[in-house]
Amino acid sequence: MSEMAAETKDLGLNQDIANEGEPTVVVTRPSQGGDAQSDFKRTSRMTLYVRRFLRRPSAVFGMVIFIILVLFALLGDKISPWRYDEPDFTALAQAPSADHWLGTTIGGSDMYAMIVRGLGRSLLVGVISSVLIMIISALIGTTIAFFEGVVEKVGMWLLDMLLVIPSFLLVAMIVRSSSGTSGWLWLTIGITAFGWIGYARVIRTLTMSLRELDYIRAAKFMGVSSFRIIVRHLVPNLGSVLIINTVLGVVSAVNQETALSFLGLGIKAPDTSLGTLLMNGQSSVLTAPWILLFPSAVLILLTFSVQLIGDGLRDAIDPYSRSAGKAE
Amino acid sequence: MTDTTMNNTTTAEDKPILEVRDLRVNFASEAGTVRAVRGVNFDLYRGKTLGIVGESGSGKSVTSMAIMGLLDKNAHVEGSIRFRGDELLTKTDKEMSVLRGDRIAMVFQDPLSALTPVFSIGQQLEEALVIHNPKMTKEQIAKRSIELLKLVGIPNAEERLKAYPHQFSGGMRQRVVIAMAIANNPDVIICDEPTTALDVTIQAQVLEVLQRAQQETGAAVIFITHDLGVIAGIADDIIVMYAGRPVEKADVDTVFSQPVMPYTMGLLGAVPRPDRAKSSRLVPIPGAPMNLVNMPKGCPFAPRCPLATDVCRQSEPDLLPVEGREGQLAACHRVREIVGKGLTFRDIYSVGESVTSKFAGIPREDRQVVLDVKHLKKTFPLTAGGFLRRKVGEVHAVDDVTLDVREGETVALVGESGSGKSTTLLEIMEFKQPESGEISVLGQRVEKRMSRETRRQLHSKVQYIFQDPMSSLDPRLPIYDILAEPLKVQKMSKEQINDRIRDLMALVELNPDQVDRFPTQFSGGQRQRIAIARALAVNPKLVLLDEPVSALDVSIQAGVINLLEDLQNKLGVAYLFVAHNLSVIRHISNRIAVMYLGRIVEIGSNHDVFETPLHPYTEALLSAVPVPDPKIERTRQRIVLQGELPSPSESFSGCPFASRCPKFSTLSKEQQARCLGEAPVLEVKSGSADHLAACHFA
Repeated sequence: MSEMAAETKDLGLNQDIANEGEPTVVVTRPSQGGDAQSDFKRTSRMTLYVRRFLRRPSAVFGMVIFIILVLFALLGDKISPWRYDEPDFTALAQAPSADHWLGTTIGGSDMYAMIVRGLGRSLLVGVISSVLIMIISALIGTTIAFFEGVVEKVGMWLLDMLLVIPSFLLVAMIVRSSSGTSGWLWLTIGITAFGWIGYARVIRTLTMSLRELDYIRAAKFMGVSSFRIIVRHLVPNLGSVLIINTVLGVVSAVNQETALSFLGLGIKAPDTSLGTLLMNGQSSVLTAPWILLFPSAVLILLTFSVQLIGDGLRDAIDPYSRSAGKAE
Repeated sequence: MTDTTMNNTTTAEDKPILEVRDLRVNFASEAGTVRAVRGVNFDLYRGKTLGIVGESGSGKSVTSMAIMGLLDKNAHVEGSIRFRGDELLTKTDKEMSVLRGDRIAMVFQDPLSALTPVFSIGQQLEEALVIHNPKMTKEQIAKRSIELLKLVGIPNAEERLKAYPHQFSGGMRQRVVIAMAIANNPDVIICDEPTTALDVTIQAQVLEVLQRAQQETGAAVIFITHDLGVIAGIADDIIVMYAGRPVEKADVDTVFSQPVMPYTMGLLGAVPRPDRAKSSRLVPIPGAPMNLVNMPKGCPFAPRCPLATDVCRQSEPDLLPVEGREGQLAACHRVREIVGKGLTFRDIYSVGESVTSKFAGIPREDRQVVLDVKHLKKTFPLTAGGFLRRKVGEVHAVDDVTLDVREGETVALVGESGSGKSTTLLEIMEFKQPESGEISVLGQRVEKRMSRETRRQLHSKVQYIFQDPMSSLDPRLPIYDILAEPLKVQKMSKEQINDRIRDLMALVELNPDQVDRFPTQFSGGQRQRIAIARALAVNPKLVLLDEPVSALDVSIQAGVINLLEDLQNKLGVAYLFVAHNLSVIRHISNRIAVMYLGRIVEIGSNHDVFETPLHPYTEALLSAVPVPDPKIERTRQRIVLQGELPSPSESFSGCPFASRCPKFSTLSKEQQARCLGEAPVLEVKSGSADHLAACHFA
């Protein structure tokens, strides 16, 4: 057994076509970015993506901001003497001061603590719903496309029907009926429940070209079950699209959350989110502008950074992008 | 503008129209700088055809793109390209646009993607014309378009102008692309593998059209191809490229009769000959093409060259004139020796031993029938647009096909695209009850209701190999998982799978340690080996192969063909082989079935079909195959079939081939009436009882 392995090692390692006796130096093909060879230096796909991502300054900048924001949301309350749910009734609508770094709201809540809490809530809602949306839409989109025929027709018809539903209104109704503390959870569920439909359509379109590829047909011809084909072949090959959509989906989910909360239909006191803060701030924009300014600055920073990351990712993953640099 | 160029042409006949000097192109890549072209020199004269031959990655296409100024932005170009004395490399994209399509035109490989699907042929031709002649009137454009389409041999040109690309077949589309290329009477036409995607019969037509177009425009042609057969017939001079450099340059006869560079010899020796019966194994060039990043010093071919010495590994030879041969240049340190001793391909490359077949000596009749197809039919409905899709007709993709495949033999299905050969394969592989007729695999009839278990067993007996190993392997899975997939379907245990994968890798001559790599890390030939390993994983009795070597480089192709042969002999597996390359078929198959419009028109042993073809279609098909020998190419009489396959939606009361049949016109009125009125059946015609043809007058 080991003998055979040793023998074939020589053959296979060195070359494409067995050529006994002639110890040949191994060469590779340029276009495929590498070959099987002994001194082959393998660049894994992840390192490649990271390298390409890092080559883009704006993407790195976005990443840094995003990480700072996440750290801020996680650890920001550790350094503040105030908690978001303990208002300081001695300082109502106060401008930023040594005591209250970013001022207080009309109700006396510390703005800094409120923003930390609000950012955390917004991020949580955004990230969870975006990931869920991608999982659901990837599975449903690929399934609809994979089975073709009747399944595709009925599936597309259902998707079209679902698109007609006034999702904003329904989400608002779901969240309204929930209690104060679990509001964010219902909001996440609501955004997810109506957010996947559009993406599923997009993914179905992408799968349509994928399903014609030989390796999908090869799997069918080997007798691989449909579910396995979808999970092992179709979804991973949409990976780059899914990752980009997930990242950019965070922005749209945060925006949706903010919009709903701003209208008073999202997260309610005592819990808070960026949208809720904005709503509170807009009523006193002339008398206490900091209540509006600081949360909006954070919101803009958040969406801006995620957008930059999304752009960078798209370029890093896209094999046709210019991230390879320039020849000398 | 047009006037002045017209005047120039008369004075510039003897001067080269295009001069390329020391052209170098580098690309940036993650691995480092790719030196795609490293010093190309040539002169191009009006009315002459320069052939550039080389494998993928040899820099031939990059050279042509550099001339067109169509290289990617991350390319760095050095050297000089002068068109009529004008330096092209310093021109801006805008200045190049004036030349492109007007003075220098290009015919691309893939006619499917060279035309925009949303515009009609007429609109696209109009675009090609108007961009360089803004003053043309509607009538002039229409007239010129029709003229062009007629020139490239498209029937009903007036009507076809309104048609969209998808309404044309591949060959027709390529004709349209050629029409667009010659629309403005260019001085240089660059053809980048223009016939690679086409059938042999269509290839013969398109080559003829190209030659006609060249005569009509007097243009110089750069013909890029990997097919030595094609280039033998069309080129005047040939440049053989390897690793971005020309390694041999001479006129076409010299290259084919007295090649000097070992690589050229290898290329010529690795292709099976369509005009000769199989005499021995093919000889692959060992190794794979060069990595153009971090090239080691020395001759780039040295690692694959059996003649390489230390000098070859130390310094790269220059392209120098070969002593005693006029006009021949070669880049090899050992030229003197090769010329002096008169070394040929057989002296340089060693021929391996083939494995004797498991079934050698057992006559065909005594072998078990692996696949039995009887009267198989497959139709696709044709629907008309509108809200409710109604059926307006049907396409007879496969029409009454009967054939059997026995243990250990290779049956080849031959025919133009659209003849139903791939559909036949797919129909067998689907394991669904056919519309009509029956399919049995090892005695098991394929029926509508089969248990999961029966289906699984069928999957273990029949496997499929695709044409393109780049797309048939999931790029996101490591080789181990790819090979494990069919085994998992057969419910094998982890240990069994592990052992089997190690054996498989050895079987296809790959290193078992490489199973953790991804498909993109292997070369084309290696990937096809992996695909073969995957197909053989479950020990099938029958493998269906859809053009398994046509996507591979010539030097790699030979290795894969040898492997397929050895595996068949070792394992006794039967192949049902679909290919358009008749040379390969002649080499590998035992029996041949020629298909036309979904029907088998001739079936018989390899020898019978190639030596004494009965059906006129087979004759035409065989004569269309280009032979890699310029002398034969120049003298032989080729039967060029007129027209293309009739639409498969047509129904014929008589012989479907009658409309294109060269024999038909030689028949008397009564005989012609029989051809048109009575469908011929497949029957024994001459001596051999195993040789059948469907022709009234064969």
